Amino acid sequence: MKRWICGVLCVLMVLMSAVAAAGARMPALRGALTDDADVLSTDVSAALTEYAEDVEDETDVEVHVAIVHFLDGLDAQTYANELFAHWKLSDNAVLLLCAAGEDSFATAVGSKAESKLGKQNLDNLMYTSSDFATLIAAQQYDAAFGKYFIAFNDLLNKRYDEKLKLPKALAAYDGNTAVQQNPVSSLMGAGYHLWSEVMDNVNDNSAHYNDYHANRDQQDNGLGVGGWIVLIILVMIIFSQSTPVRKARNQGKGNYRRIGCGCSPLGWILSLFGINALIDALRGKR
Amino acid sequence: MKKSLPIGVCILISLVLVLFGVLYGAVSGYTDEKKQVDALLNGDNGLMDVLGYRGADGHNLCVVARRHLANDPDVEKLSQCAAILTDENQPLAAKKAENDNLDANVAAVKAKLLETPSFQENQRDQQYLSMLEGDLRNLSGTDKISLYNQAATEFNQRLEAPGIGYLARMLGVSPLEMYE
Repeated sequence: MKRWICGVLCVLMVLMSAVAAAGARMPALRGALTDDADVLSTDVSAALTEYAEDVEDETDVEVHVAIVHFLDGLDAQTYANELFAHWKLSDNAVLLLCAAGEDSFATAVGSKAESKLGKQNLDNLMYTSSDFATLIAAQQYDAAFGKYFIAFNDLLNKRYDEKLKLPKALAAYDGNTAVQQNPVSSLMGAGYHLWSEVMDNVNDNSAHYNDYHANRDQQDNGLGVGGWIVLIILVMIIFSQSTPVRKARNQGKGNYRRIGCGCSPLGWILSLFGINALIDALRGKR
Repeated sequence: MKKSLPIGVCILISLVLVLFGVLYGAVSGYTDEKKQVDALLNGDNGLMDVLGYRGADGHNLCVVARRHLANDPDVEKLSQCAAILTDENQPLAAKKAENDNLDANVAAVKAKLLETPSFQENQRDQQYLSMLEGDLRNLSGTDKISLYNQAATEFNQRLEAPGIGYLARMLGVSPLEMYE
C-alpha cells in the first residue's frame, strides 16, 4: 500500500514538475566548475578545478559543480537532473548544483558513481556531513564548497581506497570557516552569463529568419529548375513511345525531306525521340 | 513488335506528371516557408521560449518576494501568471494574455517589496530585483513579437493568393496563428 502511494506521489511530482519545466535556462558546460553566478573566489574556483582533475585521474569519477542564481521555477533536484542530461554527463559523473539566489542545492549522479559512492551519502554531504546547507543560507559560498569537498574527499578516499589530498584553498576550511565572504560583493558588477547567452541565442533566432527572408526569392523552392527539366525529358520519352511517333520513325527513308540539315544538337535530340519524324508526318511529308 | 502507347494515354500521363510537378512545387514551397516562420515561434529561442523565459523570471521574483512577503495575494497572482507562461502545453493566445499582465504583476510585487522593512535591509535581494527587472526588459525589448507577426502576416497573405496559394490550402497547408 505504502509503495503504491509513493509511486503515485512520484508520478504526480514528475507531472507537476513537467508542467513547470518548460523553458528553464541552463548554463553551458564550462569544465569541472561552471560558476555562472560568479559567487566563488578565484582561489577556490582554481582549487575546485584542480581537485576535479585529480579525482578523475585517480578514480574515473567526474566531479562537476554548477552554480546559478535561479532555477526558473523548477525545484533543485529536477533542475540538477535536467542539467545532468543537458550536459550529457557520463555514468561516472557527480554534479553538485547550487542556486545562489534561492539558497537551494541538489546533487545528480551517474549510475556507476552512485553505485560506488551512494546517493544517500552524497545527499548527506550537503546536510549532515558538512555545514554546506548552513553556509549556503549564510551566503558563505567559498566556505560552503570548501566544507563540502572536505567531506566528499573523505567519502571518496574510503570508497575508492585512495589517499587523495585537497588543494590548499579547499583544505583551509577544515575545522574552521576561514575568511568570511562578503555575500553582496559576489553580485556587485557581475553580469549574469547565463541570461546574456540566452539573449544572444534569442537574437540569433531572429537573425536566422531575417537571413532566410532576405534570400528567399533567390532560393530554389518547389520543384526547381532541375526538377522541371527531368519532368520535360520524361514527357518527351513518353511521347516517343506513342503510336504516331513510332510509326513516323519506322516509315521508309527514301522520299521525304528532313527538317534542317540534321547537324545541330537540337536536331539530334529531336531525332532521338522521333519528334522531327512526327512533325514531318503531321505536315504530310511522309 | 514493341508495344506503343496511344497518343491520348501519352497526353494523359504527361498531364499527370505536370500536375504532380505543380502540386509538389506548391506544397513544398509553402511548407518550407511555413517551417521557417514557425521556427520564429516554436523554434529554439523563438517567441514561445521568450515568453517562457519571462515567465521564469516571474517565478524567480516570486522566490525573492516570498522571503519578505508571506502568503501575499500579489505574489500568488504573479506565480500563477508565470506558471502559464512556462507551461509548454498552453496555447499562444493564453500566453499572450498572461504576458500582457506580467509587467503589471511584477510592478505590484515590486511596490510591496519596496515597502517591506526586511527587503529594505537586504541588499542581495534588492540586487536580484534589479537583475530580474533588467532581464524582463531585455526579453520584452527584442523584436521577436513584431518580427513573428510580420512574417506570419506575409505568409498568410501569400497563402490567400489565388492559384498556387489556393492549391496549397487545398492540400493541407494551413495559415499561421498570429500573436495578437
